[in-house]
Amino acid sequence: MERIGDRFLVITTAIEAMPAVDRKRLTLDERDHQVGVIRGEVVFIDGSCFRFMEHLDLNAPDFRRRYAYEYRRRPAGALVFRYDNVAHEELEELQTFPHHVHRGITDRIECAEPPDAVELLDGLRRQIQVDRRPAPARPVRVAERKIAG
Amino acid sequence: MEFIRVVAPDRQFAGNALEWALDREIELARMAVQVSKDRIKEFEDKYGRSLRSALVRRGKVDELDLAEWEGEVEALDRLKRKVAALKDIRIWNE
Repeated sequence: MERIGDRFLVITTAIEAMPAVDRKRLTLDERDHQVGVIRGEVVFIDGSCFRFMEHLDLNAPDFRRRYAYEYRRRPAGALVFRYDNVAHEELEELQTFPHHVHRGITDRIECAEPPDAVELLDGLRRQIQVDRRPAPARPVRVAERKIAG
Repeated sequence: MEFIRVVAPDRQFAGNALEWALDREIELARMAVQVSKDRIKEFEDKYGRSLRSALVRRGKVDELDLAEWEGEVEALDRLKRKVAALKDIRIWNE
């Protein structure tokens, strides 16, 4: 990847492939050819929401200097996951520090390597397809006819 | 200081082109510094200048904003160093 615009294209393409999108907002804030910020929010028709931010420097070995990927479900925006590398002091013991994931409404924090944004979106896409699959048809009960002997 | 050698059919033209490109790169980097400063000020206006840890403890900060805020502070430092390094480049066209 040579330019910030290439990364933006990767993310945009992954989001375009998402089903059941109600609305989305993506911004590319390009500081120079190799430094910039990508932000986005995708709201699905079930009200769940994926938000993300990538602060990029393509000169750096890990080009995502700072990132956060968050998915919340309705109702009340319950947290499903948020991967980020905000360096919370209290998490210094984590093996993957500063990378970690917050899970569930209790905000449980676990070790996590930096996720691939496209894979996260792909996982959400598969989950949404499962959720939207029509329920299997219920077996029709055939009334038993008693034959008088 | 280190030296690089540029080979061109027209020394004057190449020298001017390089100086122009360098000036433009410095200007772009300066603009990027300003954008970073503005963005940091937006976060400070939104959340105040409290210690980051205090904001997190009180649950007063959107974690996506926090990640971006940290990224911006780091980017500002790198961009300032880039401006300084670009300004140290000298082109001799004798």
